[in-house]
Order: sequence, then structure tokens, then C-alpha cells
Amino acid sequence: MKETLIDVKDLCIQFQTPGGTVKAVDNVSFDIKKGEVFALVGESGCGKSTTAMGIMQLIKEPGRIAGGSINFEGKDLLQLTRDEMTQVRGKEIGIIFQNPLDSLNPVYTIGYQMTEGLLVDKMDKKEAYKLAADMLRDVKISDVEERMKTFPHEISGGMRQRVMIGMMLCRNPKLLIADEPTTALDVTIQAGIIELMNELRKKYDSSILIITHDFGIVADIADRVGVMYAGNLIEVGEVFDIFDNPRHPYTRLLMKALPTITKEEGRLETIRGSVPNLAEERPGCGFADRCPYARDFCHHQKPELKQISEGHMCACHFAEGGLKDEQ
Amino acid sequence: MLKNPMFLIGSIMFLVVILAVIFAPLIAPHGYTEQHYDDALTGPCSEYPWGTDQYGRCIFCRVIYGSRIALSVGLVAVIIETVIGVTLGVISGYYGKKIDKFIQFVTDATWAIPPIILALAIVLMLGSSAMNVAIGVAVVSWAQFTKITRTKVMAIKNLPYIEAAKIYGESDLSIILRYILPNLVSTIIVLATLAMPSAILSTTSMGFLGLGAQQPMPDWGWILQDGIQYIRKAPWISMAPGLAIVWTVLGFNLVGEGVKELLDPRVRV
Amino acid sequence: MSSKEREVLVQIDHLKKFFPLRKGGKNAAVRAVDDVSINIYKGETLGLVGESGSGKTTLAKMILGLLPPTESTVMIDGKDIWNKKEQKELRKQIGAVFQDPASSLNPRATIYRSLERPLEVHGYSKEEAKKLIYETADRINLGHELLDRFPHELSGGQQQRVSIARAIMLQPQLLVLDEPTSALDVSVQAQTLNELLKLQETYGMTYLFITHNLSVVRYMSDRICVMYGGQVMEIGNTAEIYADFKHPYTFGLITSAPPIHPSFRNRKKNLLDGEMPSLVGDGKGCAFASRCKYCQEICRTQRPEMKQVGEEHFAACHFAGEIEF
Repeated sequence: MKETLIDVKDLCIQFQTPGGTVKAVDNVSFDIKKGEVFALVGESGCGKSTTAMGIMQLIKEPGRIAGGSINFEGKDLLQLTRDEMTQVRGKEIGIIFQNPLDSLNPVYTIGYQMTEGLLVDKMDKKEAYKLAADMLRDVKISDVEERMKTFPHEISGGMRQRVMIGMMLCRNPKLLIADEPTTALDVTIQAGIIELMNELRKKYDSSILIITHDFGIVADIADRVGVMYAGNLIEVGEVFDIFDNPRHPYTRLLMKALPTITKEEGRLETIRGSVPNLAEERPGCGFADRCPYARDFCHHQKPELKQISEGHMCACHFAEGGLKDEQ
Repeated sequence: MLKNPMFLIGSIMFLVVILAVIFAPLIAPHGYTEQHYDDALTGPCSEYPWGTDQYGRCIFCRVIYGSRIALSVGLVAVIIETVIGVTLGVISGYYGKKIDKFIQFVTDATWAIPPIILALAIVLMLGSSAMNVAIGVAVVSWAQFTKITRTKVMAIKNLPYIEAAKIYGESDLSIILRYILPNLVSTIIVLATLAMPSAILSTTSMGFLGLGAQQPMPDWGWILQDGIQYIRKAPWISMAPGLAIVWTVLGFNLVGEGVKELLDPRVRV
Repeated sequence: MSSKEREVLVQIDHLKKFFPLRKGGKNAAVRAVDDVSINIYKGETLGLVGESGSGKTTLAKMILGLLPPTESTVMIDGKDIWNKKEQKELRKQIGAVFQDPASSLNPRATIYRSLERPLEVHGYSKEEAKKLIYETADRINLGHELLDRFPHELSGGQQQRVSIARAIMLQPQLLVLDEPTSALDVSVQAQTLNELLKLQETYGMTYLFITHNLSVVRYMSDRICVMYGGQVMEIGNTAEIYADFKHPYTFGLITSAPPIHPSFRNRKKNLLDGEMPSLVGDGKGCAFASRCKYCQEICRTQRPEMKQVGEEHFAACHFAGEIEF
């Protein structure tokens, strides 16, 4: 069994809105092992990105972390001071976003931005330059010397995302958070980035937390998967367990909603209703209103995330059996 | 509105001008043509709050009545320039290509000629009257309306909902009237409010040169010009219309900026 | 049924769209759509796939009469969409749904008004329009209470359903769907796709389904057309395109798509190097040559012809059928 790198426990993130308190992330617990790729997957508004921002403590007003702990290498990130957290960010945990242009400074060259972080770590200038150049080669950028002198807007979207990954890996973080890293890119470019991330994780043995709505990306890269719905983590398991033996009704339906067939073979499964309003108090299971298997008590009693088999956890009253494929 | 003190001050100044326009006969103690030769060139006193000119006419009354001329000529000028400018801007932005190039050329050409000289030429050609001044002022200042509406139209004309309307067979005219113009309303209001002060300035400049409303109409520009010959003996004559112009222009500018913030913070003028 | 027996609805013959450049001389232009010839048959769904910049949206706009072609024209049901008079007659025959549901509806009009206006344009009376709007709303499961709302009060899925309603209300023969589900969540996407299939069964409409999502296009299409750099690379039956592709670009595209199951993680891939080249050029040679592993001298100098490689399967590659993938 591999060592745990980060252990998120009962993380709660709330947003104060005129309509009430929105529980964007509600008692979410999961861990990521060393060298592992963990995917948080779910539809828009499920809280997956908020969870990532919570780990980085980049939650903006009117949101706040309302409780829980994030144990990272023996220290609780939520107990750190601002300065200590700044140290952790970038150096120990790196993050890349969907749109790399937002995270790159348009007025500095790529070379400058690549080495900036290393210089903060008191590295020699020449050494930093060499490391940055090597890293760009690692992320498959050609004409590295030339590229170091260009500005972010002068290169393509795919290349920018590679630069971002390289920049993050430069400081050799123990955890890399990738928030929808390929959503804005074409599939052929996306495939290259996924391939690159797969190679780099082997080379640097860093853990990756990937946030995505695309089960295809999960299938391509994740070791373990956490499925989120309406602020709750509803199922966690090995990637093969999630794909072959999903236990939560939501995961099951979602898997059948994926267009993996042709129209001659049948129709996709749909999920009735829509996502609940997170500002309303819900005593029961968040999915109960849409669940074809829901019973009365599903609406009143919230299911806990509990282990149903080795490494497979599910938050459903019927997870251990009794879920029949009839509606 | 209360969060922006400049807007509040501007609104008060603006309101004062409007009140003067509406209630001029009630505010003014005398008629604007009444001549009191005995009191010619009297300084401010209780009878004449801002003194008299060489004919013994009450300056205060003339300036108050003069607000009617300044504002109505300015308003007519702004309406004309809005109509010309927006029409050309919409055509230019919507149809593009050659017609756009042509309109852009005309717009740039208008900008290349010093406005006051062009306006002068037009008024001299048409003959001096308040209406012709309004036309002259409008002809030199529609270009900014064209530039800005053109840019806005180009940004919205390819929105999916407008393309969808084209697909189900909406005609060009219908698209312009139903979908494009409603999107321009706030921009046009902002532009027009901000065009008002410069129109008033141009109008009074024309009056100063003797081309505005004809004597004895109390044109601010003309009163200012008239007072210059007595500037040492009776400085109040020129000062009154001068202050009135500054007051009005500043008031309109502040209101215009406030309206801009309120309606369309992104418009750059 | 072979293509020869089917009726052609949309006929595109050597269609070109060049955007002239200011710099670079008289003939410098972006070749957005460069000599495309395809037929769309009545009642079928033709999937059009390609990456951004492949020219698929430009092609769609020429078919919809929104963007005039540089050369040739588009014939729909025997009428020329770029002939003013015939375009007017065709307006009732074509509908479109776009990617962004929010901006596809007039933000200042209620849903009802947005649906009523096309009917008004085509001379329906108020009563007729009302009847048809309610009928259509029922057909696509759009609650009547939503009709009085404004677009921003609806969810993305609902907005897209309104767009679909607007497009199908006049019962067009051709529906152009440009990335209709790309902005939607998986569960809403499934719902929308199923509805589109149901509508097609009911009305017998012909779909041109444009997307970059290869699993969606596989689910929806009878035939698939693969575009790259403004040119058609390969066209054929869905099953053949996926199982027996003949063009190196199709190989790259299909194997780049994320797998549907983790066991396909180590599939054989043809990862494309570099990025899509600029579309400014002389149009000589194959658009894919600069990124093609199998590229030979001839590929750079001579534009490949469409070669028949199966019963209804064509590929524009000098070596189509000769390469073992």
C-alpha cells in the first residue's frame, strides 16, 4: 500500500449568497497516495473545482472554508498562516487551470516566468535557466532557447498549457492539481497533454489531482476516481471499479448517459429532473429527487460515504445491495 | 446616484438650467428686450441683479432667457447629429464592405477639417439663424456617433440569436430595427448627453461671431461679444454669459458621465 | 440502400471560401474552405468532425446562407441558397442550432416571443402561432410555464431546447446542428441528443451535425465527414470511419479521442505533432502533409483526389488503402 500524500477530511466550503448559505462542498473526504492520479469528476456546479481551490486556499469572497482538515505531509494546511501557505503553493502543490492565458503574465517572457519561482527558492540564475530549459524540453517544446524569449500570447493554446505544466513541475511539487486542463483544447492536442502528464508522473513520481467533467479523460489517466454530486462526494474507487461496477445510482446513470454507443445500438440513459438548489437545506440524499431507486427515507436520511469493498466507497443507502436494474 | 457625488452635483446644476429654461418669465424681473436708457451700464444692484448693458437691458434677464436659445439650438443640433451619425454607423457596421469603406472615408474626412471653420462655412452659406447654426454644428460633429455605433453594431451583428433570425428569414431592415437598435439605445443616450455640452459650446461660439440667433434675441455668445467693448467699464456684461456657459457645460458633462456609468460603463467616448 | 438510390438534399460542389488578407500580396488569403464537395442525402445525419480551424463552421454558414462563398454555391432541394429569390423560398426549409445556448436567444424577448417571431415572419396568424408553439413545446418537453420567462431565467439545457424548438417549428427539411451539446453537461447532453433523434424520426428531417466530440458524432450520425485545414479528408459510413479508416488524419483524430473505458488506455495512438498549420498558402498539396507521418514528396506538391476505398467510403490521400495503420 502506498503512502498517503494528502488527506482531505470533512472539508466544507460555503458561500454566503442573498438566497442563503450555499454548501458548495459538503463534508468531502478523500485521500491521494504518493505517485497516484486521482480524478474528481462531476457535472457543472458539483463542487469539484471548489474543492481544488479549497486545497489551495484560493477561495474568494463570499466563500469560505467552513470546516474540515487537509493533512498534507503531516501538517494541516488549514492551520497554516498566510505566509506558510504561500510557501506551500507553487513549491509543494502546483496548480494548472483550464485557460493558461489567465495564469501567465502577458508582459513577461516565458523564460522569465519559468525561472521566477526557482529564483525565489534561492537557486542560482544560470542553474535556474538550465533547469527551466530542460523542463521545457521535457514538456515537448521545440526550439527551447527561442521559446524562452517569447511572450505567452505568441504561442498556441496547447503549447501554453505545456509551458504551464513545465512551469509547475520546475519546482518539483509533490502534488499537481490540474483543473480541467484540456477542456479548451482540441482532441489531438488534448491527447498529447494527457500523454505528457502520464509520462511526467512516472518520471517525477508526483501525485496528480485532476478535476474534470470528461469521463474519457478519467478513463485515460486516473488511478482512482471520486464522483461528486451537489457538493457531496458520492462514490470513490479504483478507476476500473467505477467504470465496471459503479454502485451509486448517479454514477450508474451517468455512465449510461455517455455516448459510447451508436443510435442503432440503443438510446442513451437520461437523468430526470435537475440539480437541487444548494442553498436549500436538504436532510436526505442530494440525489433522491432524481433517483429512480429512491425510497421514502432517502429523502430524510443522508447516506454516509462507507466502504462497500476493498478501496470502493459509496454514499447510498442501497450501495451494499438491493439496487436492481429496474426502474 | 448618491454614491457618485459628481453626478449629484451635475444633476443639481443641470436642474437649475432646466428650471431657468422653463420658468424664465417668472424668474426674470424684466423682459429681455426692455431698454432702460437711464440705467445703461449700471452695476449689479437690487433692481438689476447682474447689472445692465449699454442699452440699459437687464443682463440677468437676458442670460436667463438666453438659456432657452442655447439649450434648444444645442438640442436640435444633437438630435440631427444623432440621426445622421447613428444611421450611417448602423449602415456602415451592418453591411460592411464597400459601403463601410465609403462611410469610413467620409467620417475621417469630416474629422480632418477643423470643425469650427466647417461649421462657419455652412452657416455663412445657409444664412445666419438659430436653426442654421444647429445644422452647422450637427454637420461637423456626427462622426463620433458613427464611429462608436459602427463598432458596436459589428460586435453584435454576428451574435447567434441574430444569425438565427437571418436563418428563419428576418429581413435586414427588420434585424436592424428589432435586434440591433434596442442594443444601441443605452449607448446612444450616453453619447447624446455627452454631445450636448460641446454642441452648446459650438452654438455659443457661433453666436459670439454674430452668426447665431439674430438681435435682439439674447444669444449667450453675442452678449459675451457685446460686452467685450465695455470690459473695463462694465465687466459684468461678458462675465454673466461666460459663467452661464461654464455652468451649463459642466453640468451636462457631469450628468453625461454619470449616465454613462449607470447605463453602459463600457462605452468609451 | 446505396447512395445512388437516395435523394440528394444538399449538394455542394467545389465550394470555396477564402478570406483575403491585407498583407502578403493580391492572392494571399486564408483558405477556410478549400474545394469541398459533399452531398447530404434526405433523411440522413451527416456528422461533420474536425478540430478548430478545420473550416466546419465556415462551411455551415455558407450552407445556411449567412456567409457568401468565394466560389461555387450550395444547392438545397434543387434551389440555390445564394440566389436571392430562391434563398427566400429556402428559409422555411432550413433551421439551425448553435453551440452557446445563452446567446442563441434574444435576451430582451420572452421565450414565447422568440418562438412566435419566426412564425410571424412566415405569415402565421396569432392563433395559429399560439397553437403551434404549444404543440412544439409539448413535443420537446418544454413546460408551458417557461414560455413567459426570459432566456436568462432558464438553465442551459432548457435554453438549448428552446433553440431546437425554434429551429424545428416550421418543420424544415434540413437542420444544421453546430456543436449543439458542447456547452451542456453529460446528463443534459444525453437528453438533448435523444430528443433530436426522436424529432428526426417524427419529421424525417435531415441533419448536418457538426462537432469535435467523436463519441457524440458516432452516436448521432449515419455518415461522417472528416475535415482538416478547410479540406475534406475522409467521408464514409460511421462504422467504416471508426473501424476501417483510410486517412492518416482520421487515424490521428480517432485515436486521440479519450477512451470510453480505462482498458483502452494503451491503445495504439497516432499522436499528431505540432499544431494546425496556418491556412494561408497556395492550396497546393494535402492540407495534412505538414503533420503526417506517412508524408511523401507528392503530398506536398499535389492535392490528393478523393479516392473510393469502400462502397460509400472515400478518402483524400495519395496512399489511401495502401497504409497499414
